[in-house]
Amino acid sequence: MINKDENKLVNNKNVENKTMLKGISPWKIAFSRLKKNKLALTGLVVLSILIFLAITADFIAPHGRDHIDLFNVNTAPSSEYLLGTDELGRDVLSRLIFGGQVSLSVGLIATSIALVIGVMMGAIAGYTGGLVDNAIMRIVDIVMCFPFFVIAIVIASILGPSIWNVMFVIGALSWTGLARIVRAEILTLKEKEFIEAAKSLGLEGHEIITKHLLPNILAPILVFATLGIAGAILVEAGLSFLGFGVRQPQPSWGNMISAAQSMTVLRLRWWQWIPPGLLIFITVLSINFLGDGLRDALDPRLKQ
Amino acid sequence: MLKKIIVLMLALAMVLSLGLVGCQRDEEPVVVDEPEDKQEDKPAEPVADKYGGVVRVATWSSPPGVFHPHLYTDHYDALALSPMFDAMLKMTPDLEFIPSMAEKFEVSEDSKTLTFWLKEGLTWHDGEPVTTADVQYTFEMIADPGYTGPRYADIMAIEGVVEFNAGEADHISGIKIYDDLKISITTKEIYAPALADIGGRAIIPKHIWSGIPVAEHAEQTEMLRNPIGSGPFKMKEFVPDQFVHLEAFEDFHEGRPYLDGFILQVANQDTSQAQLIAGELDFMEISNIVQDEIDLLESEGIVVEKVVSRGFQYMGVNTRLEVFENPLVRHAFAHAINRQGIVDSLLEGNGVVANVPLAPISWAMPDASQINQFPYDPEKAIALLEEAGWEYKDGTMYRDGEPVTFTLLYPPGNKVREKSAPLIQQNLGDIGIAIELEIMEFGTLVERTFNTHDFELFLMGWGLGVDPDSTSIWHSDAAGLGGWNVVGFINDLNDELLEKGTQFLAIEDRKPIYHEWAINWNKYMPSIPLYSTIEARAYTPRLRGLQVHSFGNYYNLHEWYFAE
Amino acid sequence: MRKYIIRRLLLIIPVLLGISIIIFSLIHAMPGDPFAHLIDPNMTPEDKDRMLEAVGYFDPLPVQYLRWVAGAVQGEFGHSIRFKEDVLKVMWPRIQNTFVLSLSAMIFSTLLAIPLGIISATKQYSVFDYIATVAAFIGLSIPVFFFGLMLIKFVAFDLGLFPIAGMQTVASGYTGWQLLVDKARHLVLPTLVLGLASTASLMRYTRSSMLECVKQDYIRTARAKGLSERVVIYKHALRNALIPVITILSMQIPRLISGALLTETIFVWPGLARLSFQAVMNRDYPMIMGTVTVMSIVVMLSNLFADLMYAVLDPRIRYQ
Repeated sequence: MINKDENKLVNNKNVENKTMLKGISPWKIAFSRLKKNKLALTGLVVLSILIFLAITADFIAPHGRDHIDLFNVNTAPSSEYLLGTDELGRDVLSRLIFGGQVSLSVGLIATSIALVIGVMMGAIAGYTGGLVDNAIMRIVDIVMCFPFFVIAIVIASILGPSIWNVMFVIGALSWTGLARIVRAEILTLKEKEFIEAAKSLGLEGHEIITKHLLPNILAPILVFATLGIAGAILVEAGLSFLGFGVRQPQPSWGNMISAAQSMTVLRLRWWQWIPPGLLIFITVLSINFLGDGLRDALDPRLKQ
Repeated sequence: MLKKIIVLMLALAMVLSLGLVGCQRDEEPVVVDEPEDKQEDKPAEPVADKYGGVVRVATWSSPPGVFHPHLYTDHYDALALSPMFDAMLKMTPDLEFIPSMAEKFEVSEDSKTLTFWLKEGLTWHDGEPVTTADVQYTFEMIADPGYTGPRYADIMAIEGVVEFNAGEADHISGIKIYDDLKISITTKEIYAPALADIGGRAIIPKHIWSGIPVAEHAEQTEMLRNPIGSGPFKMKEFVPDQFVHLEAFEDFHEGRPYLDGFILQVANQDTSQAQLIAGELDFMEISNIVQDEIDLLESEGIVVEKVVSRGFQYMGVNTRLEVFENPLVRHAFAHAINRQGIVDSLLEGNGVVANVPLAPISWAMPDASQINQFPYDPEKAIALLEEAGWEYKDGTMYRDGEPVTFTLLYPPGNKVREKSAPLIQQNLGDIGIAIELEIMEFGTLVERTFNTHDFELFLMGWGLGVDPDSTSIWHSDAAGLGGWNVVGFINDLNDELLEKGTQFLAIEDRKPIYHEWAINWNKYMPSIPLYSTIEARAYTPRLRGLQVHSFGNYYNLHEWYFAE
Repeated sequence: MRKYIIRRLLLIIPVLLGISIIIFSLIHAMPGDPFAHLIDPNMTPEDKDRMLEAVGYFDPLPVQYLRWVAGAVQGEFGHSIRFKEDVLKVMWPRIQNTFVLSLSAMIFSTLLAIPLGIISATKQYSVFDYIATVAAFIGLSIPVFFFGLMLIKFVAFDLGLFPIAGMQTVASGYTGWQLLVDKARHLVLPTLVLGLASTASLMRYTRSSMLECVKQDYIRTARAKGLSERVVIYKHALRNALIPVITILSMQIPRLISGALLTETIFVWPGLARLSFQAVMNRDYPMIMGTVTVMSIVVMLSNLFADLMYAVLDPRIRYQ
């Protein structure tokens, strides 16, 4: 085992040396590092499969998403219903596939919202400094202090129950960590020579931020985004458990397990809670593996 | 390093041993009791053996602790109140009123005056005597201009209440005290629910409350938390969010309860069955029966008693909107929704289809042959809508050339109701009507429906009282914003019959009026009644002597006992 | 240092003000009112209006807010609409319960995560490291309520090892040692559930912080001096590695307190988060304001504490 690893290390060094010679970007290096991280790679493959299933849901789901069959309520898996049916006689497998669509897009879109707010706030605060910085950081403090679920529920009941609102709520409450990271990175970058140079060339603030600063802090942003998706999927499940997530009849993995939270279901109908539970778990696990792999791969300090 | 691992292992060992210690202790009593459990119909046990034990009853949310029968606003407070407070009359499982704190009572010739004689020697939990002054005080407290509770409308029928409330009188003129034990109460008109609203009203102690202005009663936290009543149990300890512990009242007028204590314990609805089986709870209500759950409970020896619910679930239709004005449209909905299917599959047969807004066991319920049953019939539904001028083409319903779509609002919480929403969506979809489902938290739904009338269709339920009088729900006076006639049912015959219905005291006189009212309602169908459920009470087999019924569990709480 | 602390404490005031304004506006923007649940046919709309008026519902919002601030400044958070009791009094026992549960979860996760993280780091790429890493990821990836329900089903119900719900056996009559054992048994499962995620992330942090320290020059120096590997790791590396870990630890506090809602709901644990949640559901405005304020203060104090610990432990950092 150790030998193998060492071999790989050697191989990798060779690869890197070659790429260096050809003058290839640090992204390629990162990618080659990522490729040798088995866990991250597994995560990537699993995720790709899940995303593929979600995108093609309309073609591959064996039954309609909401098709109710009152004659086949709570039936165990059979050749007709491969993963059995739920309490309304809807096909669990089809709902899982469509639920993947919902859960994954909640994760993606909520994180994108957090990303936009977080990067913007962090960049402005870090670059401008002074009063603006102070004001933004107080806003960050305020949002960080919000007890998450309570505020999420308050906002959700103001906005009303739609999947877009769930995404918005999650995104709007989870950008603070990123804002702090971006601000800190920009504070250190700001002092660097190339920024001074850009300033003396008379570039506008927003140009400096978008063209010169942000590309240099893509790595932490990317890592945050990956892990954020995992977090958002879990949060949606938690909100569903409290009755404020994605609402039935639209399925999400979160509301599928929370619909099955009674002792009876846990005891007698494994097909209603194990598959969605397992899918959330596998998805989040894959994303976490990938995110961790990315962190290692993109970390410039981890020189081999 | 090694030290750290040892510490870790010690910690683990401690955690495990905690589990084992508890395990042994919990099992002990169960083993002892088991052989006794099987003897269900044993002849009456010697009375002395019945004393002792504490019953633990599940509640799904903590009572907030406003333990005052006329100030509480939270359903969960009522659960703790009923063992602690008593009234002059009480209702039997056959829904008749019999004396409780009263020795006897009389109804005058003109049916307007009720005269009560209290039992001799009644005392409050603090030992003070109960007198007619307490009864008078109870009504004057509710009628007081400073009163902040929700019960004023209940007693408005009493003569002189309105004047007293306006500050024009020192006492309620309709309430007359003869002596410490005899009191009469007169209503302005004949008031049918008088036995329930007046005789069944929990009496509060004057000596405790009269020193404080009524407007400030709601702020007397200490007194609200430590109520003095005259019921079979008195307050021992209240730990908010955990439990309410009541203990037996030695001087209860029907004799000391067999049980030493009564505990209302906060539990999680999803795990409470497990708690009942594990012996962490003794009694719980099951509002939505799941057959597998009942089977599990029964296989573990738990007693499950079924009772018909006292209400019904319905789909509210905003008849103020022009599109729903025509009764044919509502009839079509009733035909289109597979209500029998909901009962058969979602309720697993534990329910009945509702066609009128009454509790299934009410005496006001007309014979099934007299009312339209609206059986599931999508073809008929389409035909009715076409008769109303709608157009059905290629699987889509059109009205004035536009495809018909409605939004159905419903609250989370009641699992069967939640599941019925997509079913209704599919059923109406089958007759070409697209339904948008919108689930919203209860407070929001109330705002959209009762408070602003901003809705098309919604799902909700009514839990009804014993008296079939539904004036406050269906009379046109209640159709305004905030009123309970949320669907806006305006119908002259309906108003007339509702008014007439309360003007007789005898059930025999009222029956034909309510039958006619129900038939008329059924004809117009201002909202679609869906079903009434059958509920269950589950309890440990050691608990005996219960007489539960649709309208209450604690009719004879003082006679409950544990078999040993 | 003292100046820094004072400045940070003063900063709490504008943040609290901001929080209270936002929360106040949000909760009053929610549809519904404190008596919306009172669907009682025997009650008229006039009855309800009278009750709403008695709790000040119809006063203009700015007036209501100023009234709240004026009270809060003097430590009076008003009267709960639902409990008909002083908000602070309602909160106090819940704060204690929350404290017990989060402290227990924190001790559990610290005791488990830090040793595991250290071992993982010292034996990087060993089988132990792999297993621990994967286990940590699994811990981070299970939905909290799902884990809780599984524990209830398998550990509490099937095996009967621990009670299913609650904080204590009601009316058990236990005293002394027995009472303590009873309470401890009720604490075990909620602790596991609440501590799970923090354990996993804390372990990851300990591991990476430790790995980073081991690479530093002074460790190399220590090794070069011929010190035994044990001394190097536990005396030199560990001390420095724990600085960021302690920061992370204090940053877990807010998560343990407001994030405990799911755990508290599953195990019927009477804590602050559940109180806050129920207050929202019942539109008990003074109660929501009170609970949110308390939780915010705890978050800010723990952030301050984290920064201070950092300064105390790391001599390189000086605050002005």
